Amino acid sequence: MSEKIRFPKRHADGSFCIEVSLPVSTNDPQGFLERVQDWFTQWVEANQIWIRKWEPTERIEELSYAQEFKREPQVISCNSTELKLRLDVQPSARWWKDWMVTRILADFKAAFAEIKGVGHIGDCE
Amino acid sequence: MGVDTDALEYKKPALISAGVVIGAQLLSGSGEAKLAEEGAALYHGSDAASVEDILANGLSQSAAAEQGGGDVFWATSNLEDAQWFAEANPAGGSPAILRIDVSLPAVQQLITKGALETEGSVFKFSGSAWQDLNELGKFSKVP
Repeated sequence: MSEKIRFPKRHADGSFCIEVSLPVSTNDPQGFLERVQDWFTQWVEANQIWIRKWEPTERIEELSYAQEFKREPQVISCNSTELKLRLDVQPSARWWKDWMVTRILADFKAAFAEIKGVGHIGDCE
Repeated sequence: MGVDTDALEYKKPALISAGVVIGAQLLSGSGEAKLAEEGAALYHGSDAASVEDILANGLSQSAAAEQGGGDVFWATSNLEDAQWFAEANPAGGSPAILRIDVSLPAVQQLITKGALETEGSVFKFSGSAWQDLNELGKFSKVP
C-alpha cells in the first residue's frame, strides 16, 4: 500500500472506522439522535442492494451494503449544532465512498431538514 | 447524395443519442443557451496538493496510482457530493475541489469513444479518457 494513502487508517484485519460530523440545527438533540438512529436502521433494511445503471452502455452494477459495511451507521453523539456518525467498514469494501456520499448522506440529508450542509470526515477517535 | 453509412452518426446512433440525452440533462435549468455553448461543469473532490498538481501538470494516472487510483477518473455534476469526496481524500490532506469544464461535443466524443459512462450525477472516465480530458477540459479550483 502506498505511503501516500493516509486515510482511512485500517485495522490489522483491513477493516476501518469512519466518523462523519454533520452540521445540524436542532432544539432537541436527544430526540433528533433517536429519530436519526431509527431512520438509519430502517434505511439499511430497505437499501441492502443498490443497482446502478450506467449510461449509455446500460451496464448494470449491483452493489451490496453488507459487502461494504459491518452494520448500519451508528449515531454516536448529537448536540444542537453537530451530529456525529460512525461507519464501520468491511476489509474488502470497494465502494464505501460511493455508498456514503451518493446514497447514505444524500438520502439522510433529504430526509431531515435539520441537516445544514457538508461536514467533516475522519478516522474514528 | 446518399446516406453516409460510414458516418459516426449512422454507425452508432444509440451512443450519439445517449450523448445528447446526457448533454440535455446537464443543460437543464436556467441559462440553457449559454450552457449549450459552454458545456458541463463537473467537480472532483480531492486534497489540495493533488488539485494543485492537476492544475499544473494535468491528470496523471501514475500520480493517481500513488493514492490507490489511476484506473478511472471520477467526477460529479453535484458540487456537494464532490465536497464530501474531498473530505474523504486518501492523502488525508486539506480538502479541495477541482472543477472541470467540458464542452458538450467533448462529452459526446468521449461517450462515442466508450471512454465515459454516467449514472445520475456521477461521471466515470476510463483510463483512455485522461489525456482527452487534459486536452478538452478546462481545469480550475473551486474557491
